[in-house]
Amino acid sequence: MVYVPDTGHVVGALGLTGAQAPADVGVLVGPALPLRVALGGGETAVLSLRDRQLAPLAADDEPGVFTDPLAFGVEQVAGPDSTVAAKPTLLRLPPSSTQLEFNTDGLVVSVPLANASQDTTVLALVSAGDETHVLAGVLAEGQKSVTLPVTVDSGPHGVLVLVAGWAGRLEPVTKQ
Amino acid sequence: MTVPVRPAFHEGQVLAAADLAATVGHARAAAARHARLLHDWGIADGLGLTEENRTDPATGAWFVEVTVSAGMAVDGTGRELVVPGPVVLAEADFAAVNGADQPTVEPYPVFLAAAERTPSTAGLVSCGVNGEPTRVAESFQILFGRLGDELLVAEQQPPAVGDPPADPPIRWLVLLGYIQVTDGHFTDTRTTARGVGLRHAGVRADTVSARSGALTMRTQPAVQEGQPALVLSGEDPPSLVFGLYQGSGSVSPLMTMAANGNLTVAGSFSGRISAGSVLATSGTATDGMLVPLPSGVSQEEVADGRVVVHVYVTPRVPAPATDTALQVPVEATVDSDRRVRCRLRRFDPAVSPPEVSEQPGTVDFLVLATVAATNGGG
Repeated sequence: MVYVPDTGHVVGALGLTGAQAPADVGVLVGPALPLRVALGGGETAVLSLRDRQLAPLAADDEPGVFTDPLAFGVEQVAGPDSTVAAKPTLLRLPPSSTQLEFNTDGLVVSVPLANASQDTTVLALVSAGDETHVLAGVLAEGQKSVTLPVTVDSGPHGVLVLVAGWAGRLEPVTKQ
Repeated sequence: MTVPVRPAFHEGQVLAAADLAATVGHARAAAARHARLLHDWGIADGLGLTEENRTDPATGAWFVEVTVSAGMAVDGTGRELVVPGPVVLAEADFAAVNGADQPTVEPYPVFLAAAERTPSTAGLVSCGVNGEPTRVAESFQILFGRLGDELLVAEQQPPAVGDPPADPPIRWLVLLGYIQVTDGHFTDTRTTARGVGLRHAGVRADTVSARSGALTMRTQPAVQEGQPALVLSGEDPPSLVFGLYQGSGSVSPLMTMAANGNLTVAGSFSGRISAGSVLATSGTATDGMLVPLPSGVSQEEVADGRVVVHVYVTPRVPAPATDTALQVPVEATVDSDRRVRCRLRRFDPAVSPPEVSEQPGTVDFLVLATVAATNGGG
């Protein structure tokens, strides 16, 4: 299993028959994990999560993670000496069907329910031709929406949105 | 070219000093040739640097008294260097060589070399003509080197095969170790510094045979529990055993090669895989992940063609969300990096407006790694 420690989302899964999967991100994904999004018209955008953005996890058995890895999250708890430990049991995250859209300022990310007790980390990858914009932001306590500043051309773009506590989304978003 | 000449005597011959000297010289030369041609020079026994804690009465500073223990070495000319008893190193002798150096934590080398002296025990020595001594003590000297002098050890050249026994002033340095010096006192000893360590005497032999029926090699002069040993045994059945000494002095086998070629190991085995062997691994991976190689196969072996990898993938198609939805894999493969490429296309004609979408998919994989045959097999 590889996940994004910033938000806790599982982004890739590997299970071996009768053996433990390697515990090295480099062995699991190489220098980057490419996530592909069909843009229509035969075009495909590739969003690359660099290996330094990822962490490995020997997770408990969870067959559903192979069907939809982004629907699962990793619970991280504070360990001794300011370290963070990941629990092996994966959490199924609630889906978010709110609309993703570009406005003149950037990518608008919304969630159905605001977190009333703490800020929520947001990480987004946006394709722009052969490049990938990495956008980081925060849904402030009590807020349901945040605009992540980015300038992209009109047309379809591959977008990966990871909002902590919500299922990740990998889909095309068209800028009008 | 001079070949060895052996003195011969006959009745009525008047013996001269040269005749007797030739007798001794012939034996010395034979012993020296044996030592330098059938053995590798170095420390044969003892000669360790030992420390004894001391306190400077004037300053109260702690230091160590360093002693060279009794022992023997053979130098590169074939001379025996016998140190019959412990010798305390003198700090004044060190200061005479290195006293002007700036303070440093770098250790200084200590050497042993041959020296010839006239014995002072007159009662055992008869005087020759003109008062010349009739005995020569094959003694030794302990020398302090300068920093870096340890490199001189490797540069020493042995005499030619037919050369006579070396006598002083021909000098051959045998490294005994290193001393660390602080404020004029010895404070530590070492056996290795700047990549140069002690050299112990060895054997040059193309055949080593045992008389007891078993040949044992070990890493220490004495049997020590937990230390390794290699035992070639001619008992019935013959065997080659590598193992560790037990407290009883016997060797507990870790690896045994039997006479029929069977190899038994107590631990796990790893190494090159023989040609034609097939290793496999299987599992499940999501789009974008790298399919791993079977255990024991490295990426380097695959890259240089020693191992050929076959990857079979089968896309996992999950149950459709509705009765009317259609879902088919549009891609299920791995690329040249063994990265999974799997996409599923979904379509539900009952949804208005009908829409086709694609999502990353998952594959079940089987990896077969075959070791390619090379010239001569493997």
